[in-house]
Amino acid sequence: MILEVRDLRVRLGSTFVLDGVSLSIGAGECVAVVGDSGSGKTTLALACMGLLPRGGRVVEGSIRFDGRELVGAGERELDELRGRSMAMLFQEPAAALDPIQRVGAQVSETLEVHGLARGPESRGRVVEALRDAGVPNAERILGEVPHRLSGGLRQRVALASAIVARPRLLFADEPTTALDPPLRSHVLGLLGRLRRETGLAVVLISHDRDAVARHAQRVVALRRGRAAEAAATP
Amino acid sequence: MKIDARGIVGFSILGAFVAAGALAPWIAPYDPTVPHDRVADALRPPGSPGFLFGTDLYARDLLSRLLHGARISLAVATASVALSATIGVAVGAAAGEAGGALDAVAMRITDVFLSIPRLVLLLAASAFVGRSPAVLVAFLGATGWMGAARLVRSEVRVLREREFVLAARGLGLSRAQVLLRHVLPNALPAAVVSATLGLGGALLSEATLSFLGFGVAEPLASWGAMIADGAKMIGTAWWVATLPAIAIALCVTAANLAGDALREGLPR
Amino acid sequence: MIARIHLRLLAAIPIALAVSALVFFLVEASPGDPSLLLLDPNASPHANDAQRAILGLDRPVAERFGIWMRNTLTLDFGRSFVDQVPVRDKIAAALPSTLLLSSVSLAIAFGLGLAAALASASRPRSALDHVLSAIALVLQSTPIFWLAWMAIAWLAVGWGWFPTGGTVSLTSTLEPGLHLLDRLHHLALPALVLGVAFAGEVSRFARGALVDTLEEDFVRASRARGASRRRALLRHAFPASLHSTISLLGLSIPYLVGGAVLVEEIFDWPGMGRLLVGAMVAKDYPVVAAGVVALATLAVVGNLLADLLAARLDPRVGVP
Repeated sequence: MILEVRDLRVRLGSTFVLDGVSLSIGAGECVAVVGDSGSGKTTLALACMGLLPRGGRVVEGSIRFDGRELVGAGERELDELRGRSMAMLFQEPAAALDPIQRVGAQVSETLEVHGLARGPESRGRVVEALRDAGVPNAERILGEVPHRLSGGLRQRVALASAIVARPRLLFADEPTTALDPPLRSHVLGLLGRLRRETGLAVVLISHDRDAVARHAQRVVALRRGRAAEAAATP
Repeated sequence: MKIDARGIVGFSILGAFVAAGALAPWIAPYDPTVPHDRVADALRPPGSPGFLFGTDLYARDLLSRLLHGARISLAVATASVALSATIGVAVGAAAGEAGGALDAVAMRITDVFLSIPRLVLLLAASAFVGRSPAVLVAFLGATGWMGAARLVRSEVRVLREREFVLAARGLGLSRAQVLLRHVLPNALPAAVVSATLGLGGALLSEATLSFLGFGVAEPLASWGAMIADGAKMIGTAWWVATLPAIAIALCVTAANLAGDALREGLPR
Repeated sequence: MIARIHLRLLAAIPIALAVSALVFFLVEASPGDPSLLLLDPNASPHANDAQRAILGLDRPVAERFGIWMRNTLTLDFGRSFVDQVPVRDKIAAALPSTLLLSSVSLAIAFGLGLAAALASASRPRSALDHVLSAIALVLQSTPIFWLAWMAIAWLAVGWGWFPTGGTVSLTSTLEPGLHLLDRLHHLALPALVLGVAFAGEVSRFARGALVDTLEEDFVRASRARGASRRRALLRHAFPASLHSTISLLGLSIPYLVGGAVLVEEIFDWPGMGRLLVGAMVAKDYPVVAAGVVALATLAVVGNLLADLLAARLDPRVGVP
């Protein structure tokens, strides 16, 4: 098991956004998290990443990554894991990219922060990640600033930045909403390929029933912070 | 509305100073303008017998001067802030309600006034129009309304679209009636917040003007003028300039705390 | 780009004219005969009759206003009562000193204020944050002129670190290099006082902008990539929040100019402030009138420049 969440209760301000949620996922698997807006899907991902917004707190429960308890872990420990072992693709690609920094710098940030690659090697990996994510002229956009790119392109840049360090677990929060159908299947195909080739575990947060049905082994349905788990037909 | 500690502290301090100023003629131990025994009693430090806060160069009791200073400084500041609030509400409501060209013109005028340094305009007023408290209040008021105008304008614009306003219009009330009876009462809290927050600025402006020698004329001594008196001796007879400075700082801080508390307690 | 900058600064002209009009009405509002304010009390009656005609003092208000505005447009503000020097020249001589003082003070305020804001934002709600916010609040509530005199008493007179005023020491027979140093030495204390006083505003705006930006998704996304809190703050949140901070600062430029006037008077710094206050004491009204217009224009231009800078840094408008 790469990730094991047990009876997680998370408070945002004065409400319990998550009220006893459990989830587990192993290498190469895809678990979908579905539910209406406000049901706590994104909060679940944020809690696991240790990135709850101001006023958010894990009140009870356990989150284990590779057997290590994350609840109550120090910031430095979590910084080490983030990007390299666990990654997240955020819901709004436009909002999730730094509006001032260039694309190349943002995609390579994980590599830089963890000392995984520098200079030309880093550039190479960035280009590779962008190509994987479906960006045709990867080199050309390295120097671009996000707001000059289309929504779909931004989403792919964000995806590239999440997978560039070959993490073991990826939280994909609505990864296909900003994309048209051909790209949608490309991205989902990429995630599937990474699962098979690198053992990437994907927590797929999505409204897209089709995608869920096709890719997820299990489904966790959240309703007002509580979960009901069911298996999806493969 | 939550009870906010800052609000309580702020309003208490302000209230204390206002009360002190209002009661000054009765509670001040001495006449603020009359010097005592020039030789023996000049520049006595705080805590000297008979002079709780000491005396200045002309052997005048500082406590009495501080109390009377509170009177004039706070009176001018409060009156000007009331004037500012009135102008601000009028401009803001008209602009928010009328929209279009009138709104654009009003906003231009607001921008112009916002780009002029307040002190500079006050100096000009003092030079050309005079130095009476009335002139001071008028010009402080005329240079402090912009914040209130902007706040009230946005409140009015939002409120115009609300259901209860549309319902009132539907019942046949004229625009003016709707404005007065329904919109303005809801926009007033914004004006009150503006006024409270503006009090600090008005106090500092009045003090600065007095310090430079262009505020209210002697014998009415404002805190700013007291600081000017004590400025050169600040290294030795520090109390002459520092006590009024503390008074000003306390009042301005209190006004800001109170204003912040009000602003965050505003119903949304 | 340069053309665009100039175009926007032209917006200062109508405001300068509006201020001049305002001054005209202030003069008109004077109790007693306004024309007395504009005539040199020391000049001969003959000269004053001529002046009367030139300024149209016996004409109706509308005509007087027209003449006044025309004079403003041609930068003709008459001559100083004190020494007959054209007012325009006096202002031109004083303006650079004010610009120097204001710019250096602004730089100091920016540096101090940003440092404080970054320290606060990196540990929100901590003791450090509360202390810094409290200091900023008290600083903004304390009269600058008291701070200035305290600085003079302790740093200039007490410890002798700085001169007490003026721009140059009396021993002005220094070589050029030392001369510059001497000038800087004299600039230091007034700029420091004004800078520290203004730093409170800066830190308040910057902290607010930072705290807001820290909650944005892209900052969280950078942390999701492994960036530490510090890196996310300095590399992502801070640059993105600058345009907002500078925009707010622009609104405070008029306050800075007012502060400069005050500080110049206290430190005897030969800028617009000292010119204006001196003219008021000497009842040199042409200089007062022109000084007001000049200072207002300076504030407006500063405000506009800040807006331009903020727009340049705004990610939505585009950073090259």
